[in-house]
Amino acid sequence: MNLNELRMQIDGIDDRMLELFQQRMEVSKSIAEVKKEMGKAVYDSARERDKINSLIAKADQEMKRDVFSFFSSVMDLSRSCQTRLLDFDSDLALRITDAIENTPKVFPDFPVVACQGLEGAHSMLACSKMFTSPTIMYFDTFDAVFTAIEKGLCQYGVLPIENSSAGSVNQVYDLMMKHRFSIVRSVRLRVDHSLLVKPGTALADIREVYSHEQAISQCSEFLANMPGVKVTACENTAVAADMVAKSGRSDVAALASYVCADIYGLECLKENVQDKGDNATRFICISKNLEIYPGADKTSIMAVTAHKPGALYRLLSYFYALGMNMTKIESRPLPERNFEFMFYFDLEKSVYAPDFTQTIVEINEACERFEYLGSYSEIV
Amino acid sequence: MICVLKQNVSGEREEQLIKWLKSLGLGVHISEGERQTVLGLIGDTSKVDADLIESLDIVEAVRRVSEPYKTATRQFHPADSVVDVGGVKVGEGLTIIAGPCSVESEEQLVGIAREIKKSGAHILRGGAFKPRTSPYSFQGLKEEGLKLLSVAKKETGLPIVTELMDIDHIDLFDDVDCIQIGARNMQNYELLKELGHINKPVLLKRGLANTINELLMSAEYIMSGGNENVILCERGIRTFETATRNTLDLSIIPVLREKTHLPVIIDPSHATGKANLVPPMALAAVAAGADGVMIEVHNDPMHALCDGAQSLTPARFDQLADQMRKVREVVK
Repeated sequence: MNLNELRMQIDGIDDRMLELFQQRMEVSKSIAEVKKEMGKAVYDSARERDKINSLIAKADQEMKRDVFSFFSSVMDLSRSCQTRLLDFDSDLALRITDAIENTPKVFPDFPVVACQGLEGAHSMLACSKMFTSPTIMYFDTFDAVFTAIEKGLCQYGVLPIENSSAGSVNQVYDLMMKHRFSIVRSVRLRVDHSLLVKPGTALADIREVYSHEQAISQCSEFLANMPGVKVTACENTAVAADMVAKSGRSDVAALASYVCADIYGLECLKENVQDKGDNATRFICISKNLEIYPGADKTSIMAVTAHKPGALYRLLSYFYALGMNMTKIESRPLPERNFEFMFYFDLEKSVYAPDFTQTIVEINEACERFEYLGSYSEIV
Repeated sequence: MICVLKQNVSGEREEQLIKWLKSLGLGVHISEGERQTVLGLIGDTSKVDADLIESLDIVEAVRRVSEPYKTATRQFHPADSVVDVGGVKVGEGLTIIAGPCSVESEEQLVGIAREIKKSGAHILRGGAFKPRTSPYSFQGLKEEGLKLLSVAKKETGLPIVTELMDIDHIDLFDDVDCIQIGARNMQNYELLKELGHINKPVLLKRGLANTINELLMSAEYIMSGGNENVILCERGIRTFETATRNTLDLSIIPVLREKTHLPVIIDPSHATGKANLVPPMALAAVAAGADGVMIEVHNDPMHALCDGAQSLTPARFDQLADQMRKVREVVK
C-alpha cells in the first residue's frame, strides 16, 4: 500500500472516531444531567480506575501504555464537559464573574497599604510604583502584612515574591498557605543595592555589612571581594540602613537602596553593587476580597495535586488546553505532610478570554486542594 | 488594652490605626503625652489582634489592662490630668478650696468668701442641698443657697463648688463651676451616669465605707459617659476609732497617684469633725502630695447651722493657708 492509500485509511478511521467521540460526549452530557439530579459529584475515581483498568486488560500487550494515555485524555475531556454543565454556577465562577463586573474600573490612588519593613524598604518603592499617594503602614513581618489586610487594618498589602537573581521569596510563598487573600496587581521593580555608610567611613574601614538575606545573595560577588568582612542578615534593607545610622561604630555598612541614604542620613559609598545589573524583584499587591481590575492578564493559583503519577501533568494539560502560558511554577513543602507539595502557578491569559472562568473551575475540580489567588496586570 | 505609640508618628498612620480600632467597635481614648501618645482601648478587646498591632512600626508596645477602671487608670493616661474649674487648674500646683459647710445667708457667705480669697483660697465651697444624717437637721437653703453662691462668685470672682443630690436639680447648677458628689452618693450609679453626659467638672467624694477601687469605679461611671473632668476627694472612712469622726486615709494619696491620673483632694474637716484636728491633717495631706485641700471655714463657728465644730475661723484658716503653701514648697 502506498502512502496515499494509508492516509485514506486513517481519514476513514478518524471520521468514525470523530463520530464516536461526539456520541460519547453526548452520552457523557446525559450522565452529567443524571448526576446533577442525584446530587453526585462529577469525578468518580473508582469508576474511572475500573474503566481504564478494564480497557487496558482488553488491549494488546504493546498497546497498553498508549491505550492508558488515550483513554485518560478522553476521560479528562469528558469530565471537563460534565463540569462545564454542572458547575458553571459554582461559587468560584460566581466570585470571578462578580469581581470582573463589580471591581471599580480604576485602581485606587490613595489607599492604606501594609508593607513589611521601614521607610526606604524596597516594598515602599514598589508601593509607590503601584499607587499615586498611598498611606503606608509598616509592619515587622510578612505575616503581619497578610493579617493586616485580613483584619481590615489596611486595604492592600505589598509583598516581594521573587527576584531575578535570588529566586523566590520562600517565606512569602509559605505564608500564602496560611492566609486568605487575593492578588490584585503586581509590579516589577528594578532593585539596586548600594553600599551605605555613615559619613566619614571609608571602604577599607568596613568590618561588618548588614542587609536582608535576599540582598546579600544578590550581591554575593561583591561581598566575596570584601574578605574578612562579617555579613549579618537582618529583617530588611531599610532596617540595615537604620542599624548603621544608629550604630555607634564607624566600621559598619548596609546594603540597601540608595534612597535609604537620604532617609537615614547615610553616604553612598558604592552604587549598584548587585551581581547582575538588571536585578529586578516582583512584588504582589494583595487585598482581602477578590478584585479584578480591567486589563487583568495574569492569573495566580495554588494547588495540591494527588500524590500519584501524572497528577501534575494533568493539571498542566488544562493550561495547555486554554493556551495559558505558564510564567512561574513554584513548589513549597506542605507543613505536616512529608514530601508533599503546594504548587504555585502564574499564568498568562486574559480574564476576558471566553473559556477562562470555565477552565479555572475545571482546574478547581481536578485538584485535591485549589486556591484561585486572583487575576491582575503587572506594572513593569 | 493600651497601645503606646512611638514618638514622632505621622498623623495619617495614627489616624488609620485609630479609625480601624473604632471600626472594631472599640472606644479609643487618646492621651497625648510629652514623650508618647497612649491609645486606651475600651470595649471588648478580646477580638483585637495584639500581635498585629505590636508589629506595626509606629507602635511601641501593646498591653492588656487588668484594672476594671479603664479610663481612670494611669496606664491610659500616663501624665497627670488637670481639671479646669472656672479657670482654676486643679492638678497644677496646690488648690485650696474653702468655705462654710452650708450657705446660710448672703452676708455670711460673701463675708467668708472675701476672707478666704484674701488668704489665698482658689475655690469657694458651700452647701445648698445638704445630705444630713437626720431629717430634722437643717437641710440647706436649696435653690436660694445656689443663688447666694452665685452672688458670692460675682462679688469675689471665686469659682464655686457645691453638692448635687438629685439629677432633677441639674438645671439650677448652671452657674456652678464644679459639681460635688457627696460620700453618700458615691455609688448612686444612675446619678453618676447622668454626670457623664454633662460638661462640668465633678468632685467625687469617697464613700465612708468604700475602697479605693470602688471610688475609681465610680469615677469610671462618670468618665465612661464622656466627662473626664473628675476630681477625687478623700473625706475620711469609717473605722472602729471614735476619737475622730472618721479616719482620714491619707495613704490614699500615694495609692491613687500610682493607680490614676486624676487629681486628688483631701477634706480634713469632715474626716476629723474637730476644728483643732483640721490644720495638722491638712498639712499632712499637702506633705503627702495632695493636689488640693478642702477646708470648712465659718465666720462664727459656734453658731453655724451645720458642722460648726469642724469649721476654722477665717483667721485660723489664713494661718493654715500660709503654712500649707510652705509645706508644698518643700515637697513639690
